[in-house]
Amino acid sequence: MTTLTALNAPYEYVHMEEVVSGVKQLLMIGQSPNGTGPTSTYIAIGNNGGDSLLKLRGLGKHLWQGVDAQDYINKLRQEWD
Amino acid sequence: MGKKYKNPPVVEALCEIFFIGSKWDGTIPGMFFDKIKADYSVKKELKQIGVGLSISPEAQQFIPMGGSTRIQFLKPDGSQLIQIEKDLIVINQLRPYPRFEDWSPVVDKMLKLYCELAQPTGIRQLGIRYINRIVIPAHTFKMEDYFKLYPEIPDSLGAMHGRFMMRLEIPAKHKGHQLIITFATTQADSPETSAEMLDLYNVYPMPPQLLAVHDLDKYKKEAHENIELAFENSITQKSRDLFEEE
Repeated sequence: MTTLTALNAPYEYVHMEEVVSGVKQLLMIGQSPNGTGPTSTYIAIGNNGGDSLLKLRGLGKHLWQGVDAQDYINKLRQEWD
Repeated sequence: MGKKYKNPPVVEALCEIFFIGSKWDGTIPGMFFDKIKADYSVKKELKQIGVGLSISPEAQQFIPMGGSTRIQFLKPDGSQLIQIEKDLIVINQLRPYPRFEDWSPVVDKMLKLYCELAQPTGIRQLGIRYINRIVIPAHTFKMEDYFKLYPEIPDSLGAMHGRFMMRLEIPAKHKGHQLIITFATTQADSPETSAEMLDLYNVYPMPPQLLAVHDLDKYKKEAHENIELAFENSITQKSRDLFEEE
């Protein structure tokens, strides 16, 4: 473990590290050790609602309105020269 | 939970049992399903997919890695499900929640079946969890009116708060158990209401010596008592009135 002297830190860095690892342990409770997620369906649904990458689908689509994909690629290629 | 309510706030109750030394292969879930399909006819599979990244001066490469699979067996009305994977069985009771006395025999039956098929050498941990969703008929309210457990904000900081989440380990009534309470704001049904999640989770890490399955009943009852006590001591009479005590 990194010591306070080596870090020359003006705060209790080492103690903070212990607190964070304790909280992490607390958050890991309720998860399958095989990595298949929470054993609670209520929590699993909540997690998916908050974190799902699928929620990103369609995000920013207005930016591409009226832009032809091939024209855009051609334009980018011209910039390479 | 202890007292009987006409509208209990339980949205999910679960019992999870972590084993060691299960003899596991792809045929176990099929055999399990065969024994319970009369009641749990809907099957679902949760697959964990892992990806490894290999970086060398010459190339970077993503390597797909085999993940674990969990199989869920559901009742057609969605009120109960059984989840199994290697060294784990979970029995989830969703709404409507019956009494613990009605739900507990299902746990025993499924545990017996898992043990017959997978022949684990022991039990590592038992978990009983009750997730309650408490709907308060107001957008703003005093926490102390409905709860005995809540974040306290000093007057100098405005004595109010918005959304919150607190997770605590507290002493359990029965020794050897760990009781974890998560209390947090959850999605309300309408702008005129508020909803809080009171998640009570009792974990019993089994002693190092291997435990016979019939001993589990004692710890299961103790875990339930711990949760019952924590629930009744986290709420006020005003909350009980919402659930309509019988």
